[in-house]
Amino acid sequence: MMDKIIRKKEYEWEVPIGTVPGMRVPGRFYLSEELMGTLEEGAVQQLANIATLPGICKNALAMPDIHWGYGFPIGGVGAFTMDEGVISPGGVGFDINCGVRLMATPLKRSDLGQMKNVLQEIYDIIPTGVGTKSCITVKDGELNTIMTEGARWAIEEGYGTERDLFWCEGQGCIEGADISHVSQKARKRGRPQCGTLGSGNHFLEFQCVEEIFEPEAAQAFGIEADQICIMIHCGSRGLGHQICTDYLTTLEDAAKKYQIPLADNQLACAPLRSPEGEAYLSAMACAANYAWVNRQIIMHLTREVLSRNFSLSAEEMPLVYDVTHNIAKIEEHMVDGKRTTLCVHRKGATRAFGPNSRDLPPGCDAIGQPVIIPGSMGSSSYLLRGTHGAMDKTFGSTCHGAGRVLSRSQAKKRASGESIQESLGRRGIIVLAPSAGTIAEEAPDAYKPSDQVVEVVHEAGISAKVARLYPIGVIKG
Amino acid sequence: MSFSEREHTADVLMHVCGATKQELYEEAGRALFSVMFPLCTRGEVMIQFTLSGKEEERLLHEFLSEILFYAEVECVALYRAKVTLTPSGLSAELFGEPYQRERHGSGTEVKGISLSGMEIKRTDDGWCTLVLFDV
Repeated sequence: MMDKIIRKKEYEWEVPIGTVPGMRVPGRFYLSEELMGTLEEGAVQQLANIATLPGICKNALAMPDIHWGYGFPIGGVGAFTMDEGVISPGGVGFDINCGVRLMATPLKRSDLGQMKNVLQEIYDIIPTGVGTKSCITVKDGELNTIMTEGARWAIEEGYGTERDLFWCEGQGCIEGADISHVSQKARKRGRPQCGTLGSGNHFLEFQCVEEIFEPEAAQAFGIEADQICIMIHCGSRGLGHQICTDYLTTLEDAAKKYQIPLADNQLACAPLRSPEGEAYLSAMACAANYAWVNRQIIMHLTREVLSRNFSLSAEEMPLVYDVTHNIAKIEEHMVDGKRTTLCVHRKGATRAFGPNSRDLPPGCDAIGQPVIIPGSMGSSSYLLRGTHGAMDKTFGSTCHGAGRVLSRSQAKKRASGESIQESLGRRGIIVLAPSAGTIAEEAPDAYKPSDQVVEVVHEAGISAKVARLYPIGVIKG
Repeated sequence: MSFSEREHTADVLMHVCGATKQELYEEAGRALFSVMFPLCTRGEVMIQFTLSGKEEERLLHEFLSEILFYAEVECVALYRAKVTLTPSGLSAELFGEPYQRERHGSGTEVKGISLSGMEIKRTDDGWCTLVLFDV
């Protein structure tokens, strides 16, 4: 399979039709020569599998953080026409609207003093890890509003400012959420978890802005050198996990009903214009809206700790932006010179709308949207901006992180959590986690170097570097 | 009979076998518990549920997904599953103890059970399948 890959440009590679049976369009991925060694055959197969689905538009795509997942590869993007195309939970994942937000502060590194105390205070307030419940009790009626209105509910309840909404993808809400498509099981899981980080690769991180690449864009996004920022990475928790689980069987049956052959059962899908497809899309929107509330509450709780410690107001800690990287969205894109409505699946990929696109935050028409790329525990994260190149080539999409290269068990064998914690400590990075095992699984070596991954999307023109942030304090989920 | 972890970059891939289909389901449960609650080895708490359906892979997927649901909403750490196949599907008993962060915090949260690669086949080792846990 790997011998079929064709190099098209310095950073663009093609998986031609015929690589797996039934491909309707070629696959295309973005990777540098130096990262080609990290490419797994399983990921290429999964990229080719996307291209077998009905209504796939132009190319099945993968970003440079591509790696082997289930259904779509991680880093996979698939856009489908509304008339012939399908929607698949395998192109979204279990953690619907897993995403990242970045909050700025007026603080510098020297202001933090004993950062460990502040970090510990946040760690004690925000539930992290398996089996944790939120300090905020959500009533059943409130859950309905959370699922239909998204982040606006949180703002109206006092968990943030009106401004936060304008600096959030889609203003923290996907329209069309219908609570009647969400099971009682999903609701039961969702109610106690709103405002919890979860586990795995989720985190809350204190970061310092180390380098500015585009001063004009950085200024528009409210970022300056040496500033302390907070990055929050989490998703829709048990509510989203259950919705994905519920719809896998519904859509597996639908694929049989509509006679859609599946290269992988996790690609279970239904036509976008079918009752089953529409039901999943509206249930997925409920989970996406819940995830935005989740990140908003976590940011609010963080603001409260920083307010107490440094006498700051919420206005002095603005949201830089919030992006989702596990989602399917109805968007308009130019296809063969025509504005076309598509359903764009991004599984471990981030929207990167360029200048003059719809849904840009205030004052960003000439710049494009902010794009947040978390690094691994010991490596840099990046603030990028969307570009015209992304609109032309990738349906306005870019990478979502560094991308794993080691399995969790391999990572644990290489080094213990305690030794990683110590070595990061020597580099000035404090790590708090529920267990040493979590730290070992998320070791910096388990990921591709974030600098190299970001270099690919920058050089390929599908996003542009604005700022680099370095971690100084990490709360692992 | 057994389960063993196979290499998978993003998630946890298990190869699970059982002398009977019933045992295969129980072993798949044990594989899941080993990821979520590696330190849970005892249990005075029991959870029971039944599932209906005839298709083996789907039943296995629903059985493991149901474990995720109950572990979360009942706040329990689990270590053993007893499965009885019935004419209409299966009935299951799960054993464990109340979840305590200090004791069970080293576990890994499993977000979902993927259908990817799940195919129950008769082999020399009994009934076997791959099961992929999204973590």
